[in-house]
Order: sequence, then structure tokens, then C-alpha cells
Amino acid sequence: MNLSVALSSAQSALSATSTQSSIISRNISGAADPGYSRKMGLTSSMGLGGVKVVSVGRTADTALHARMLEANSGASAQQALLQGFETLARTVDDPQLNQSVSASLGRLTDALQMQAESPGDPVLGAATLSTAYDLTRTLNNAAQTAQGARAEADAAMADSVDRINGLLTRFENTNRAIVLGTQSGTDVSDELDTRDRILTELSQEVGISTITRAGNDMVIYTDSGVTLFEKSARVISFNRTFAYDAGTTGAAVFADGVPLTGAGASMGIKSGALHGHATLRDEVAPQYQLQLDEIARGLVHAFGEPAPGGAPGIFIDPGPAGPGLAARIGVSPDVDPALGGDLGRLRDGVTVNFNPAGDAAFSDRIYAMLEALEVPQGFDPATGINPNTTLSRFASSSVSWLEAGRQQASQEASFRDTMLERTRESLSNVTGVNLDEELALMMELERSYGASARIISTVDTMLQSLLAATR
Amino acid sequence: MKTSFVSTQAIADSTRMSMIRMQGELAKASKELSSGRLADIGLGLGSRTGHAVQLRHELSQLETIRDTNGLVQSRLDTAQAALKGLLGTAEDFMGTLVAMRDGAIAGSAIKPQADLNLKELSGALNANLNGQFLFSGINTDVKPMASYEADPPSAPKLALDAAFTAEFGFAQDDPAVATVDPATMQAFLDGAYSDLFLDDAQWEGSWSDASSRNVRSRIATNELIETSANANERPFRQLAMAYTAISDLGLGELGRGASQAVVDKAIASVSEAIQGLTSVKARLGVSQNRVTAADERLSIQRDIINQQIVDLENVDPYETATKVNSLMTQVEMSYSLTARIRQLSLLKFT
Repeated sequence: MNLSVALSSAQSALSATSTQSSIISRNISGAADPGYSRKMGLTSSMGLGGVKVVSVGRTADTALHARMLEANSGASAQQALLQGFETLARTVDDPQLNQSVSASLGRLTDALQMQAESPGDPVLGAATLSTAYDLTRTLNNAAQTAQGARAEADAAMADSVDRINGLLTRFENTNRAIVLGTQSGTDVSDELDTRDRILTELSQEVGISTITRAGNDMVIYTDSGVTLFEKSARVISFNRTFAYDAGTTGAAVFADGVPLTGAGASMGIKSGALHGHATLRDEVAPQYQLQLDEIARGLVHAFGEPAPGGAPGIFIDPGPAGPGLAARIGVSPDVDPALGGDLGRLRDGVTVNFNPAGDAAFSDRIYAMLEALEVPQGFDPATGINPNTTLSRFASSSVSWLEAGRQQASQEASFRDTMLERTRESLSNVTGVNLDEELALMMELERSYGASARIISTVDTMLQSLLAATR
Repeated sequence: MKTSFVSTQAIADSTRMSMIRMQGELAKASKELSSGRLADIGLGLGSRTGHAVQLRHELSQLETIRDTNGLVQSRLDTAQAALKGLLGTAEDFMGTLVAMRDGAIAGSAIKPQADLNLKELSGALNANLNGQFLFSGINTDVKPMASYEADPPSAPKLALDAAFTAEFGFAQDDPAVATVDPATMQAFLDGAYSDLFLDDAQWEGSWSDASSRNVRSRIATNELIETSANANERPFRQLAMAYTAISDLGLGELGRGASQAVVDKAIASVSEAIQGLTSVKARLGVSQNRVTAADERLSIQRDIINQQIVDLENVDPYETATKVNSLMTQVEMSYSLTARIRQLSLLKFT
């Protein structure tokens, strides 16, 4: 050992300390960034006692990160679904406000009961007609809301697909930089952060799982196993549908030609906003529409007049036949004076005249209508609610179905959110920065820098004394 | 190394997240406290929301039926009052007739009373409530009874004149009526004259425009009952028959035997009519009772349903108040905690 070795090892310590303090300052600046993971300088000693920062390490927890991605996908899927349910629930609102189809039907029943007491009174007839119009309007609006929710979900899916494609392209660049950097041994820790950040954003749109291969190369699959990225980004394609009615089937989302959503998708995704929107568009809203259609059909049926082959009553289907009756159903023009009809037909029958004598207080037809509403009818079991019940109970069951779905989606969403928060917190605790710790480290470095500087100045003094002695 | 590591971000986030959650709950709880109902009924009740909607539907149906029952009740009351008047008049007339047969009152003295009674009969049967004729059956927009007027001759008067002339060959005011023998008169009274009133086609052709079908009312969700009487019912016809007999069969001119037959016929008709009216009144009385009973049932049901809605939708105000208080304390605590955590930094001490 000699003085020059002491000098050079103090010098190497100085440079190692400054590298480490630069890492600390990076950590401090990243402290507020949730996607930043703590970096560490890995030092090793060189021969003859010097030290050197050989590489920059990065705290990471792959298992926790994967769980965080999963929680993120689950939370955003439930959020998307909940949003859709909220839209559909606008058709019900607070029961006190009596805005639902069921409440509208109740108003019609009440108006008929009133009219039956004085069937010839045109004022009461007009009241019945206006409640009948109110009921058809409520049904039409509800159907429109259901289809509007589908169109919104479709637009959200298109946005989501755009975002996924953008993220995959960014991922491709970052991943290439990481692979190259890893091969050449440069510091890729910031790129790794970026890659994780992209994955986090991606998991919001679609549920993913990742595999890291040799050389830090990453492969992304959807949670159903369809490849989204391997060496290069796969193209996610989706054809937007702009106008929805009950007969429209939304287009599926494809990754490299493999369907990710829709009834025919054997490898359909299970989480992420994309999944939430697709579920709403392809399952929830169509089922609600079917329930509304069945209410409309039940209404036409209950008010239909007893004649061979059945004759239309107050409510008519203007056609063409097909799904989406709730959007079409209308009041027969035969009972509307404004359309050339006659209010008296509410009392006497629309197609069949039950009151040939023209008696003013003829109430048989009105009572028959009221009775028909109390008779259980058969409904399509595909609606998911009691298929054999009275019209008004069917309508209120539909409300129950909807609100139960909303409640469940809301509870699930808040559970998923909490789970996401917890995982994020644990992940942040493992990979995040603690300012106090960094400051403490900084002080340590300050001390060691001072000590190294002191050695240099001491060696300098010693060398000076040596030189002075030999002069 | 360290056993458990906490990142600065996690420390800051922990209070932030719980703050957001608590503030959301606070907003919800204070809304519930002010309205007394669940903040979001659908979210709170879930699958029971339909039940709440159905209950409201049933409630409004009950209210409407109670409203219409009020109308039914007032119709029945009015009809009962009219019938009571008719019954009283018929009983008085019966007394007069009996006195007359016993010879205590002259035949000519009773004619004005019969005329008046006939007017009262058509007046009472033409009673009208809110524009609806009470005794028209379901044909409520048409006056049920024609009034028996001599000038200009009304339809029933013309029919009677024609029948009389066909039987005897002269009109009622002809002096020749004095020649009518009691047997012919009796045959006329039991034959053509009775048919004028008791034959449906003749009665409805001249006297009545009412429908024989009574008004039906739905007084409970599953109870449909008849709630009117109509002018075609037998007691009204018998009253008309008795009053007309005294009023317009030339009683003053008839011989003793024939006039005795007319008075006997009138007595028989009125006495049957009194019985008949009583049973019509009883029938309407039964309807009134059923409406009252239905109303009572409806109001009990209404109370139960109201209670059910309250049970479903309302919140316990004490529980909510306690919740608001504890949430406020928590939020305040969270605020001061956040402020103190912010203070906690090594920077302050170096």
C-alpha cells in the first residue's frame, strides 16, 4: 500500500458517492410518481480497495405487480358496467317520483278506474287517453335509453380499442429499448418503469397477463390467453356501430383475427373496461330491452279485444313486426280525437263495438280491461324474470332486476376499488420511495464524501511534507 | 435491512383515500338525514326496489278506488233519498185510496193528488247527480222518465188514450164513460191497461228511456257490484200505473162499480209497489254497506302498504344522525392527521 493507492481509492469513493447521490436525487424526484420504483446503486469493490457503482438496481415485485394489474382490470370492468347500469336506472329513478314504466301503468289503471265510474264523461276519457300516451312515451323513452346505453358502450369500446392500440405501439418501442439496453448492459431501469406504467394503463382497458423472457423481453396475453404482444404489437380491430336498435348486434373486438368479445368468442376477455362495456352492450342492455319489449307486448295483449284472431285495442304495434316493440308501441289513432278518432271508443271498444246501444255509463269494456291487467300472462323466459305473472308485477320485477344488477355492480365496483387500493399500497410500499430514507442515505453519503475528501487532503499534506523533506 | 418499508406515497395516499370515502359517505348520510329516506333507493334496496314500486302502484290504486267509492256512495245516498220520498208519497196515497174506498173522500178530490204524485214520480226518477241520471241504468245521459202531460199530449198519455179508445170506443173525458160496466173496466184494467205499464216493450216505448242494466262499480280490486236502480224496475211501473189510473181514467165520470174497480186496481198496485220499493231500497242499502265495508278494508290496506313503503324506503333517523356525527369526527381527525403527517419530514430536522 502506498499513498497513491490511498489517493486513488479515495478518488474512486468520491466518484461512487457522487453516482449514488445522483441516484438518490433521482429517487427523490420520483417520490411523488406512483409509477416510479426505487433505484439503488449496486457498488462493488475493485482491486486495491477502490469502490465503483457497477449497475443501477430497481426494486420490483413481479407477483404484486401482476396482482395490481389484475385488480386494475377488475375495477375498471365493474366501473364500466356500473356506469351502464346507472344509465339504464335513469328509466326508474326514485320510486317516489313515479317515473318508471310500472308507475305509468299504475296511472293508466287509476285513470280507467276513475273513468269506469262515469264512462261517458269526455274529460275522464281524455284523462285516460293522456295516461295511455304517457305510458307509451315512457316505454319508448326507456327503450331509447337502453339503446342509447348500447351506443355509448360501443363508442367507449372504440375509444378503448384505440387506446389499446396506442399503448401497444408505445409498449413495442419501450420493450425494444429494454431488450437492446439489457444486451448492451446500459441502465434500463427508467425504461422498465415506463414499461410497467404502460402495462398499468393497458390493464385498465383489458385484463392482461405477462411473461418476461430472456433478455428482459416481455410477452402480453389477454386474461383469456390471446396474444396482444410478442416481439411486436398485435393489431386490435373493431368496427364501430353508430345507430342501435333492438335488432342490432354490436360488432366484436378482434385481436389478430381472434374475437375477444361477443357471444361467439371462445377466448373472450374477462376483465378490463373493454369487457365491462361489451357486457353492457351485448348482455345487460339487450336483456333490459327484451323486458321492455315484453311489457309492451303484454300491454298490447292485455288491452287487445276479444274477437276471433284477436283485435287490437288501445295499444297498437304499428309494425313492422320484430324486436323492439317497446320503441314502437303507440296508442291507436281510433281513440284520439286529434287524429280523427273518437274518445268514446275507450268505453265502447276500439275495433269491436261492445256497446251497440250507445249507453253512456257502459262500463263493461273498461272493467274487462282492468280485469285483463290482473290476469297473469306468459312472458318470454329469456327476460330472466318471472315468466308467468300479471303485467304490473312483471314491470315491477323488471325494476327489481335492474336495480339488483346496479346494486351488485356497485358493490362489486367498490370492492374491486378497495382491492386495487390495497394492492397499489402494498406495491408502493415495496417499490416506492421513502423521502426520509433517501435523506438519511444522503447524509451518510455526505459523511463518506467528506471523509474521502479529507483523506485526499491528508494525503496531499503528507505528500507535501514528503516533498518538502526531500527538497 | 428493514423489516417493513413504507413509501412516502403510501403514507400520503392512505389518508387521501380514506378521506374520499368518508366524505362520500358523509354526503350520503346527511342527505338521508334531511330527507328521512334512503339516499339512493335503487342502490339501497337492490332487488327489492320492484317491490317498492309495486307497493306504490297498489297504494295509488287503493286511493283511486277510495275516490270512486266516494262517488258511488253519494250516488247511492241520492238514490236512497229519492226512493224514500217516493215511498212516503206512495204510503200517503195508499191511505187516501183506502179512505176513498170506504167512501170518506170523494173521487174527484183525489185526482189532483194523483196528478201531483205522477209528477213527483217522474221528477224523482229523473234525479241527476253530476250530469248523470241516477235511474237510467247505464244509459245515464238520457232522462229516464217521460212526464205525463196532457198538453201537448206526451207519449204515455197518447198510448193510454189509444188503448182506452180501442177498448171502449170513446175517450176518457167523454160523458159516455159513465156507461162503462164494472166487468169491462176490470177486463181493461187487467188487460190492455196493465200491459201499458208491465209489458217491457210498451213501457220502454212510451214511459221510459232507461236501460234495464244497472250501473256496476268496482268498489275493491276484486269486487264489482251493482250500484243503481233503474226506472224499468217493477215498483216504479206499478206506481205509475196506480197514479195514472186515478188521474186519467175519468174517475169522476165513471159509474160506481167501474170506479170501484179502478180504485181497487190502484190500491193493489200501490201496495205491491210499496213492497217492491222497500226491496229496491234494501238492495241499494246492501250496496251501500258493501261500499262502506270495502272503504274500511281499503283504508286498512292503505295503512299497511304505507307502513311497508316506510319500512322499505325510510332510514332510522337516530342511526343516521349518529353516523353523521361519527363521520364528521373521523373526517376532522383525518384532516389534522394529514396536516401532522405533512410536518413529519427529516427535512425539518436537518
